[in-house]
Amino acid sequence: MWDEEFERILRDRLPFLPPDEPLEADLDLTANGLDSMGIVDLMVTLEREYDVRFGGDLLSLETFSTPAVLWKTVTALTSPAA
Amino acid sequence: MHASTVTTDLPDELGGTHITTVPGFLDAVAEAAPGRPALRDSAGEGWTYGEYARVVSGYAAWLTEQGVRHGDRVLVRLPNTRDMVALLFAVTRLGAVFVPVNPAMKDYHLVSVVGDCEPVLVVADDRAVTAVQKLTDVPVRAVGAAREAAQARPAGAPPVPNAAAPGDVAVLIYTSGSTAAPKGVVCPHAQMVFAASSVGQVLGYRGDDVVFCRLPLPFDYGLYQVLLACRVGAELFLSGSEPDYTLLERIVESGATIVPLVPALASMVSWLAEREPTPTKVRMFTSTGAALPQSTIDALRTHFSDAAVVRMYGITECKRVTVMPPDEELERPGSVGPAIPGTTVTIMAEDGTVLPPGEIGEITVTGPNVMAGYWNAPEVTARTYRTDPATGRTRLHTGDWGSMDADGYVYFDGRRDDLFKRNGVRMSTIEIEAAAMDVPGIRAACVLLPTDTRDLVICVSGDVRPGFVLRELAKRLETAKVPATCHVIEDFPLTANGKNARKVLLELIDGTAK
Repeated sequence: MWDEEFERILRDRLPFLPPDEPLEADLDLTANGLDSMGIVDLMVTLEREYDVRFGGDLLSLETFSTPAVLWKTVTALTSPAA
Repeated sequence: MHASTVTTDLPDELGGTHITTVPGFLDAVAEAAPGRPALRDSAGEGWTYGEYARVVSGYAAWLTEQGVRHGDRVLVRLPNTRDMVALLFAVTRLGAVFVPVNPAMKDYHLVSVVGDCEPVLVVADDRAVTAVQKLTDVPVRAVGAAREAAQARPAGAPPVPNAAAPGDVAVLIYTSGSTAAPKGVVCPHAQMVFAASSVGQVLGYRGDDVVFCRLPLPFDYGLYQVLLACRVGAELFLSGSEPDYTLLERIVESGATIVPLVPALASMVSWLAEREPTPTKVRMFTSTGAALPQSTIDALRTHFSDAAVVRMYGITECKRVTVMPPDEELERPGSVGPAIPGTTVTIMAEDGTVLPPGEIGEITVTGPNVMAGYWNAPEVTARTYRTDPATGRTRLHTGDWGSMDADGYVYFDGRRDDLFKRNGVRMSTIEIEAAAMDVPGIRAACVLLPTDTRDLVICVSGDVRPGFVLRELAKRLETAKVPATCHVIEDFPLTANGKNARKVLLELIDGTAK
């Protein structure tokens, strides 16, 4: 499961998800308001907060489809083997 | 003051041809400089001006086979591809009317646009044909089939002649306004040619420019990039279907020198440049859609020190109102520039008196850029495009408020009605409330305009939850038009007059928030 920081950053970019609704692992991020600009903002913010760099095979629109996929990518980028 | 004469003649190196219709731009450049690169899309493939003109004739012949005649509307729903631009020139050279629609337009609005403009033909992306067919009885054709037919036309076949006259309607640009459904701004050839010439002149587009078009072509400033580039024989690079995190890479790879933006794109470009400083060939960013925040202007200047950042203001109803000349980019911060050459901007009080410099009133426009009203909407047209009692000329009342300094530079202030801009998109409370009433379970809806301290809010009554309402609205409206917050209110103020309901709700929402 992701940390609080990740949840806060992600929720800030999901305008259609009210604070009292849970951030489910398989939530459709696009349907909850993550648009093209939100994706760029999210990528730049996650890179800064987690000191990682999205790129290559780990960067596609699929990366930003659900919280679970995105967190898995962030984790892969932060792990030493990546 | 600035030179106020505008010529619609092409530069001497392009034959100096006098242009009177939209297809005239392409024909003249294809004749004078057929080998020049004209158009590339993100697939990397390109056309020269000569190839471009031949393909356009192919499309025009195909459209004729499909039964398209002078004055007919052809609705084209495509992403930014070479087909889309070719169809602009092909439809208009038959004297028919090009109706560009963004594939991102929701079905809810598309149905209303089709009903309003009554096209004889719809052209859509191959994969979208079945979905679009479900919305209309009008024939829907796949662009792939059109392209094959166009390319199959023998190389030696004579060009399809340009049947358009300057007074013919060239394009209908649908925009949201003060009504629940989008309205079509009627753009005749003469007005479009003038607007492209005037704006191109003040911005100084050149033959060696590469213009990077990420703006959707159905958005008027995107569409005009086609004409602005063609007018000087520059190359247009069409971008659009790729994820925006590759925006900066694409600007670099395309060799772009001019990048037209809206505030959201400007922010993304500056974030990406900060993330990875990259040398580019960009010499000018232009911005429209809404005021570019000073912080974004500063960020662009920091990361692209060789590029001018040009402020502009315009509305589809006259294409463009003002442009800050690029060589004055650092002067008069906060101004959106003077009227474009050949046109006049007047600040008026509500009673029609002309206001002196510095005083805030309605921004009105006269000149050859003023379009011919709204399609099928005589009442709104009469309200917006009024006859000046003194001169008998048409005066466009923009509904935007602002002031002008003694040198004619305009300062934008905002609006005084239910129309407003959010994230660069123009919208109305009426439009959002109408979409909300379309959501099952909602009995009443009222939108509260954004303030300095809170974003756009919608209040509804009905057996619904806030998240459901916002997600359902997102199916019917562009993201920018979906309110940030939804309040479900049990005792919804039901008054005879909508304004009263709004007043009560404002007290309820902003009163408790304070």
